[in-house]
Amino acid sequence: MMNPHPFSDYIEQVVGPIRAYDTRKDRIREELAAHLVASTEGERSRSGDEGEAVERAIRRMGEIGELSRSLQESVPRLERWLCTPLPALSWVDTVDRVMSPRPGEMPLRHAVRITVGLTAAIAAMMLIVVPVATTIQARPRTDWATTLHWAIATLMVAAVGSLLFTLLGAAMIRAIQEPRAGRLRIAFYAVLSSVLALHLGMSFAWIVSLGPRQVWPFARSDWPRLLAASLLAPPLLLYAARESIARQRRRDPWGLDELAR
Amino acid sequence: MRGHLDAMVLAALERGEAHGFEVLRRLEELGCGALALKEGTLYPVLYRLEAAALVRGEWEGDSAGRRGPRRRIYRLTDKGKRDLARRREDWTHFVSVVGRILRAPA
Repeated sequence: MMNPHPFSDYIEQVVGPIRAYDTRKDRIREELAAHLVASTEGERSRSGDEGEAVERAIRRMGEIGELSRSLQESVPRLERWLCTPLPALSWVDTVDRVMSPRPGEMPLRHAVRITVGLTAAIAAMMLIVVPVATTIQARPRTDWATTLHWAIATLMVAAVGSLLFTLLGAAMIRAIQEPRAGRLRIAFYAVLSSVLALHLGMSFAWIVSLGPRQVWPFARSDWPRLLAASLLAPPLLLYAARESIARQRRRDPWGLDELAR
Repeated sequence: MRGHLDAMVLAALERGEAHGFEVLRRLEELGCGALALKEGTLYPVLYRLEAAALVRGEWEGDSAGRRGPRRRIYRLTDKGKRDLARRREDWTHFVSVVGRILRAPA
């Protein structure tokens, strides 16, 4: 079986501009690659020349713009609209680039880097927001010791959560990239993310309960919220992992390596 | 030609499940080489038919023992079979009407 690399430029020119979810675009890429591989094998058996066979297979597929347009028309309208690029969101790419693992960076080191950065950012935000909010209120509802204890609890939970969720995200990305064997692992990580979110919420409440007021901070109405947050964790983790893979692929214009396994 | 491609793809899949390249090969074979299709145009048709639940596509399993990109195998659904039957009736009616008109003596 020949390697699909000779087609990657053509496929990317066809599929790249299509406004569709990355999963759909990946599916189209893989299907076009499979078609071109089969077509080239047929051409090669006739002519015997590899380069000529590739060229003929690509020519038989059709003109890039026309194929791109007809594929675009097969995408549902809502999806087309949702995937229309918004220039204002380009900062998301910058954030993603900063937060993505650097080349050769181990998952734990990456998770620690993200955790330190995120915790520092939250701490800095607290240093500004808490005094301002207290000043605006004029008469603080809580004393400073309690406020400090809540802030520490928030930072601790944010740090642990960030560390564990970054590791979980990396594991989820690996599982997604192994579509033929990763389904069980994906399900396991999804459940784990839910349990983790639940535990983080409870840990926060527990740390707060150790503070000066010595009271459990959760009212009865907070439990459904915590449960909802824990149920939101799996889809969010999956979405973040898929987005990360897609953004990575956009940066390294579509590695066909995984298709050539 | 383009307007009838959906029906032709359904007819090709009536012979049994197939991946895109095989569908194209069947169309060429059935059309005795008279069809001059740009091969890429097949995929928007397949996606449209799949979205309408007239065909169902699944990635081929590991058992195929191939390396390289996976192929997506399409098969006709019950709805697709009914749709194909309806399209055949429409086509037969169309051909008979147009045929009568064209064969009518001056």
